[in-house]
Amino acid sequence: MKLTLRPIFLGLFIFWLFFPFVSIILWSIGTGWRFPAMLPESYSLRGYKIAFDPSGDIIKGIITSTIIAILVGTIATVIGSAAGRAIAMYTFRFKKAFQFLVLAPLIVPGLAVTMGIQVLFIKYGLSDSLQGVVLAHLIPTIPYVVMIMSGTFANFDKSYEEQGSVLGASRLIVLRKITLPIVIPGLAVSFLFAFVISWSEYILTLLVGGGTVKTLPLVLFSYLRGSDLPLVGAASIVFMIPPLILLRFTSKYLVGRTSSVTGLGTI
Amino acid sequence: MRLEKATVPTPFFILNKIKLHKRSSERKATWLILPTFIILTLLFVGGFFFGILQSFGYFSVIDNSSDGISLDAYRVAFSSDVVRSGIILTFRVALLSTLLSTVVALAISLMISRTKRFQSILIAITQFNIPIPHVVAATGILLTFSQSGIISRLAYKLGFIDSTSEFPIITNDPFGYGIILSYLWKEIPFLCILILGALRGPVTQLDETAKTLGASYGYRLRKITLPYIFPSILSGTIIVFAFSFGSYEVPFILGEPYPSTVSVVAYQFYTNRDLAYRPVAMALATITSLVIGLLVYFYMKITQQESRKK
Amino acid sequence: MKSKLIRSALAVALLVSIPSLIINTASSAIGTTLYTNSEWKKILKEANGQTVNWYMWGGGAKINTYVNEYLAAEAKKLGVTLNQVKLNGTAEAVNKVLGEKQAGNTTSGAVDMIWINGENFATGVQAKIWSCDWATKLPNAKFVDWTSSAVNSDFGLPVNGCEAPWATASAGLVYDSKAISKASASSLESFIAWVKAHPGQFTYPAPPDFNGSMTVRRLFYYANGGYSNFLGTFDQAKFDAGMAKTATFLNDLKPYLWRKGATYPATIGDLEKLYANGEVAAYFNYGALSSWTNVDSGLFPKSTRTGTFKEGMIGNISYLTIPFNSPNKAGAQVIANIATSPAAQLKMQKDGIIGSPVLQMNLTTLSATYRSLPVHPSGTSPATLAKNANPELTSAWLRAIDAGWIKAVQK
Repeated sequence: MKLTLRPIFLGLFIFWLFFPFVSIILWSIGTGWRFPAMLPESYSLRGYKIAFDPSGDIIKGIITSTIIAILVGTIATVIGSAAGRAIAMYTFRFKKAFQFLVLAPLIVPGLAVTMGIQVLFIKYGLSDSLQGVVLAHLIPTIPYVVMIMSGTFANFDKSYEEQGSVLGASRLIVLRKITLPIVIPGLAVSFLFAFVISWSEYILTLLVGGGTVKTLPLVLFSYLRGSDLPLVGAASIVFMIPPLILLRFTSKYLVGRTSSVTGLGTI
Repeated sequence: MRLEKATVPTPFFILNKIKLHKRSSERKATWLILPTFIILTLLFVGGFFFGILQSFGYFSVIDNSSDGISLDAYRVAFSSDVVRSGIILTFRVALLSTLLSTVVALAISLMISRTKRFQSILIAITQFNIPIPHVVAATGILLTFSQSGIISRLAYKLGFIDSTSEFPIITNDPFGYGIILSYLWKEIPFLCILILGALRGPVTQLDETAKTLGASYGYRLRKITLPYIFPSILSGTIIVFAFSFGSYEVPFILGEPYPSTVSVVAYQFYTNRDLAYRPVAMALATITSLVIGLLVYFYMKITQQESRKK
Repeated sequence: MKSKLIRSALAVALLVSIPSLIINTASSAIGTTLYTNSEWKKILKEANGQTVNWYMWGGGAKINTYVNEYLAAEAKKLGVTLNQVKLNGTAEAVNKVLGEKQAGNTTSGAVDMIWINGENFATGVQAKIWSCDWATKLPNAKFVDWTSSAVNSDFGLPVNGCEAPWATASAGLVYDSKAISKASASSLESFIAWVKAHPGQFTYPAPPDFNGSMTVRRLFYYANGGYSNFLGTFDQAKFDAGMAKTATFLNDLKPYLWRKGATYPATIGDLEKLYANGEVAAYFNYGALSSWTNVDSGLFPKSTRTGTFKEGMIGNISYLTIPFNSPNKAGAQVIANIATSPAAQLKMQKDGIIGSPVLQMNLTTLSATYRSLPVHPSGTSPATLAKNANPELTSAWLRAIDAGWIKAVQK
């Protein structure tokens, strides 16, 4: 029975996944589209014209968001990988406590932490700054990286590294030529998650950045509070594109042979 | 630390070497975890701790100089209608989203793993939603399911309704349907990726072996596949639940002004013109964290007991 | 001979002093002591090269364009960079300054200027975070009528030079003329009758949203036969009696509202989305006079009209304020001065952002141009909207009415 129902269920699932995109695209190009018209009265690219205005908010938002997300992705991946390796391949005192520390940000809402820390950020000049936002974004992203990389390093065969050093390679060369190529899938998925989380982050950026650090989510959110739906649609489409591009390059690692995502199953 | 010459190891010698090795590997591990430790302790623990302090009345903006711990904020929070109805709504939305998304993701993942023909395309489609920001997801759901949205206009065309008010209220509704839909839209693909990842492991070999030995699909599912992918499901549901409980953007876009979820209420308190509400916001955030933490703890305890029974 | 000299000297002295006396009385009649030329030159010099972070509500597309293009360009001419920071609500900026004060930041605040009025201004006064020695001294302040209670009192609280008036708001009814006739929209009484005859087509944002608060306030006046009883300081007994009547009226109206009054849009933006999509056919808006810009961009139907009731609608003035810890006070004052110049005010009206300038245009050189501004077909002339304008009440009344609505109507 499952054999014949399967395509129907899968088909419905795919339809449901894609339908909201249709809504967004239609609303981004339609004008004068009141209920109950099935299609807009007329079409215009006004929303996109405003969106791609070089002096406009969206372009500025893209630049800001990209800088922050790349910084967060890189920093989180580097230090999270180190921690992931430690968890997977070493035993040390208070290891359980450290694991708890790493996983706790997934449990505690980011809003709670950021509201609490805002006074300190203001005091030390980190509020309203890009650096402050990058720091704040590290809180929700590092746990994901640590989990993914500890999964990757759990399956890691240390003997390759040892062979390399026996043959006389320096630690740096071992890292570059032996370790990195093996863990690239994990690194790619880690960067993807960290980037996407930072890219999409709204309330943390709003609180820490104080509205001066204008990332795309803030821009889109303020458009959503207004009444210009074509602009909202165009901005949404623009907002989706960089993460999707990143996915295109890392998707083979998401559900590939080495499947780095198993690390996420280690809570 | 390679031995160049073979030496006859004495027990004492070995013990020393092990201790040295352990110490140096502990040192290595310490360096590896240090950056993460510093950042998370300073920012996360610090922020959380500071929030708790503020919920007890410290560092108040209005100089009402109350010395020592004040539980006023908690009293206000617990007696507030907005908070109480907010917690009920949040629980409802988070539990339903987590439950439904887990069940559906499991079903879809199993179906995909058994589909040989278009498997890579199916996986690619499932991955597609993962990088989509939640704000965009909420916008998409809003534009599709609102009373003047696309589905509604379709219903009008098909003659089911005559006006916008006849279409069922799915977005900005008291139950939280719109919010749940948006969460499902993002969380099901996320869980699918986790489960599909687990399904690719050594479990496939076990499964094949069992199949050749004559075990039925249902039997294999229960005894091999599910127990094997269980850790991933457990992990995924915890992440999904904690996120659904604490999220701000989605309930703000798809919910109502009243009642709204705890994060929305907490932020409203924090930005209230009446400055006395700030500690209440912190109190609510602390309560929320404790609730999620406790739930996760009991959830893990129960599921670990279950798996140990097997 | 000596007496003749003395007499002519006295005559000359008199002749010279009379004009200056007249000028002085004129300016004090308007109630300002402006910056002297040299003081203002110093401010201009200091402002040159500064960047001003102007925090303001960002939900109005037209006003954003006006600020970021016109005002920014004018500021650039004087060497000041204008950086608009969009907010979801003005309270965010107030909270920010409060947070800075709490953290001990007294000289390098992130906020240089806020577009503000009402409760948010009152919060700042309570916390002493406004800079209060500049607003009446700006060169263009000479065109402001500081004696008018609409100007010198912000929702009942004395302005005291802590903010400069910038934009007027005359609330109006925005409606689809295909759904509701001009006659039905001409008086509040006939409008309510229309709402009851056409359920589901009218609603208002939930207080404490600014426009929701205004709608409830207007209906509060209506349910109590007028506003005169509630002017002045807050009176609990008067409020309780008035709120009771209002609650009865609003709960009676509930089933005829959108979604049967079970829920309300969160903000004016959400409400305008409903109007644009055809879910509702009418609403009250402080920014009613700029609805025609939405018609032009195709968002609203061409049958959109704006108007007021013969019983009048609420009107107020919103201001610009400078926080105490702004490091760019000179630049902020320069921008405030540009924003309150006759040319800028006129452009604001032409762009459909405000109903009428905050300045007394007849004192300026642009008064003739102002009087001959055309009116968009879907709009109304500012004079019409301002007819019989209802005043605002003090913040205490506002908060009480908002809370009363939440308790008696929303729940």
